[in-house]
Amino acid sequence: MTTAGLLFMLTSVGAVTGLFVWCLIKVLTGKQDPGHLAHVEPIDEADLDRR
Amino acid sequence: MTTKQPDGWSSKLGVIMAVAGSAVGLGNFLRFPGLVADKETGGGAFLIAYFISLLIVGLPICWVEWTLGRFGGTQGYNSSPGIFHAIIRKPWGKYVGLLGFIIPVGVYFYYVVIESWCLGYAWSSFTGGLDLGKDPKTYADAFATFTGLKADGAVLGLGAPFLFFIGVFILNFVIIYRGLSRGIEFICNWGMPLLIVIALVLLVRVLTLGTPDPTKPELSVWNGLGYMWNPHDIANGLSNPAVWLKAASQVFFTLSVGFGVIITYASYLKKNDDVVLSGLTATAANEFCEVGLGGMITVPAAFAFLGASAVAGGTFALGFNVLPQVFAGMPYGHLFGGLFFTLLFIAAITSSLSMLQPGIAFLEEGLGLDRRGSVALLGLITAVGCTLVVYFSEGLKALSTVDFWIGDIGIFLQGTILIYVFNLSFGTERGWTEAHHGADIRIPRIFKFVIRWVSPAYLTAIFAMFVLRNVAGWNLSFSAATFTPTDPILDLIGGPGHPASGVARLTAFFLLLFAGFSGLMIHRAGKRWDAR
Repeated sequence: MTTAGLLFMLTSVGAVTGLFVWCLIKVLTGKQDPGHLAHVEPIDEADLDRR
Repeated sequence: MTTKQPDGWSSKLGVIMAVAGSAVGLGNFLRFPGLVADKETGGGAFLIAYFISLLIVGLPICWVEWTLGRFGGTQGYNSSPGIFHAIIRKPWGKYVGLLGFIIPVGVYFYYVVIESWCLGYAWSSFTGGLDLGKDPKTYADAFATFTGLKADGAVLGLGAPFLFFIGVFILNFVIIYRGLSRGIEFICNWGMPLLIVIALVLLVRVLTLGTPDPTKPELSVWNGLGYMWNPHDIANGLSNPAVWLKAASQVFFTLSVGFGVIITYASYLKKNDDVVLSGLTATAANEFCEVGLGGMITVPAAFAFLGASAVAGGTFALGFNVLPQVFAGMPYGHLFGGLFFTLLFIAAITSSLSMLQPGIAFLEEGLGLDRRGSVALLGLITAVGCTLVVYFSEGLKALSTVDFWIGDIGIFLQGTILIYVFNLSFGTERGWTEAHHGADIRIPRIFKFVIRWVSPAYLTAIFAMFVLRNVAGWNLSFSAATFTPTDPILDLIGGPGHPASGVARLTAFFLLLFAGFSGLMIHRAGKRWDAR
């Protein structure tokens, strides 16, 4: 493999891998899907007795 | 008519996995590597054209389809005809979505057949049945026997190929019957991570192959990677229209844009669910599987064992003739071969499921059928189409005819329609605002200009080139242009030394009937929707 070939391979594979990982991190750490329970107040279990 | 929301995604990651599963298919692991490795139209020029096409066509249309789909869902529609009906708001609007029903269902006719080959090969490989020695002809004969390549009707009966086909066909409908979250999403949530893990295992195996035959030091993985990635003459390549055509086509087909799938999947989102990051993530997942995994596994492995000549045989030859020979030549080859074909099967089933959902969505909302009825009717339609493909297997003529008219021309046409509808009927400005409702990230502003002007122009040019090349037979030369009818055209009309094919004509006639029947169903659906 030539140096140019190695450069093309590393750039291409690196770019798509980097983008995929960045997207996954954004999705997993981003705002949470409210799902079907968005209207329910979050429950603090330590607070249950007082409720 | 009562509007019901029959199904939905259970999580954001679920819909991303489903769209990525739809996009990641056989092309990622077999077609893309072959295109990059092509000595005439591959190399660095192809990669540059590929990434440019991804930025100005693939990703923008992907966002457009996600946006229109989610909008259609908020209007109570989940199918392409319904969504176009809601957007265009003219009596003819629903017919613009016709291809969004025909394409996925039509592609399913043959895709599920190829999917059954993958499962059959995985089984044969795990059980040692694919260890056929060193004679390449043995592998070609095995492929011909499994697919019925030599005679029509050869695979019908109680043999393994037909039983695998029936099993895979039924499995798809069992999963689709379970619904969106319990069926498609469940399979993709497990299947996609499994696919990536298998691909990584195979990648490590391939990269550690070294020089399999010390007497042939030139046949090494390192040189195989060079064969795949060395850039060749970039300036010359970029001035070749064929390079741009192949790159844009690959981007288009690999992302499943213009397929009618993303628009249906996105329609099950809620109004404030993100579509920008989700669309980008699904695209990135597909590109990771295609460039990062597909580009590193198949061609280098084939080169290291069999040399350059083995790589240049086309998608099916690479996957089903060459790679079984490669796996037969390595330690624990039956295990790695089995894993590879399992990977292909997972990639295929997550795609084939996505081809059924647009049909299910249309039959449910257009004809008012319940899940059982829509699955039964779609099962009947696809059974007829698949029977045609399975029976007329000689030379894979029926398969290639459906692939050309539906899988190639149809997808290009639908993608072009999609971008024009977005800009002209929906409005670029409105669409831009709509895309950013609930978005987790902002689309760079330059893409508004790209979506408005560049994508339609580029897509129209590429589509025109595609038709001129593949229908009219243009030699892609501007200075000395010639036009020679291509095989799919000669199959229908005949020509000197190329008699018309009865099977191709029958298949084309069936596709016309299917299109007409679909048009009638949309007409009937329109009456229901107008009565809302």
